[in-house]
Amino acid sequence: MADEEPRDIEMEPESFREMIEHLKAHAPNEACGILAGTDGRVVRVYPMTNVEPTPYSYFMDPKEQFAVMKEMRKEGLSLVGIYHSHPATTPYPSRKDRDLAFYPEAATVIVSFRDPAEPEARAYRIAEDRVTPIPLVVRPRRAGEKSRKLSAA
Amino acid sequence: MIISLNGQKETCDDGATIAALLEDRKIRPEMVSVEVNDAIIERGRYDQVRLKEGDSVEFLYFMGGGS
Repeated sequence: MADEEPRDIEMEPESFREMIEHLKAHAPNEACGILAGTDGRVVRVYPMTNVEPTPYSYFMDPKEQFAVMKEMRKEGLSLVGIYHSHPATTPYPSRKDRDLAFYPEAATVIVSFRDPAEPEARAYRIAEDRVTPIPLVVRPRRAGEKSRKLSAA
Repeated sequence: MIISLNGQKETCDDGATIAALLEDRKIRPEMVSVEVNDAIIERGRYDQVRLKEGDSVEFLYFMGGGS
């Protein structure tokens, strides 16, 4: 794991929509996924299987987790963020979110569907039980900025 | 002996168990999943499975939470 903590997280609108649509598709249960990229910028969204599918918990399938982490390593991508939904509560890390935050180098992205018509996404750094909000920037790639977007598996 | 640990070449004691490897790396076994040569190892076997030269070992912290 890298030691550097995230200062912010950037996503292209297409990736952001992909994350929201994945989470929305599993409501009212929680859903989860991995955001891969470089330097805090997401270039790949990995929707993951929640093996504890309830409206108040998620737990990623370890088999998928191994496969994705190995693929990311092979492609030179880092773990930029871990996302999940809060179907009926605020987009703030719960006690369980903080207890299971083992990757301080990755942003924790939470999308609340309290108002299903207006999903609310927030990002945090969680390290040693300290929760620090960080900017979640959704913007198109700037002119001249090289895309590292990869095709879907 | 030399093993691959999360893609990096690492040394560990000859015949070390997974439990010994995790303890040496200060990793709490109840917080990780472990794979050896692409097979997930059940946590109850961490102190039984002995590693061999060249084994590919992967460990990952759980990713979970809730609202």
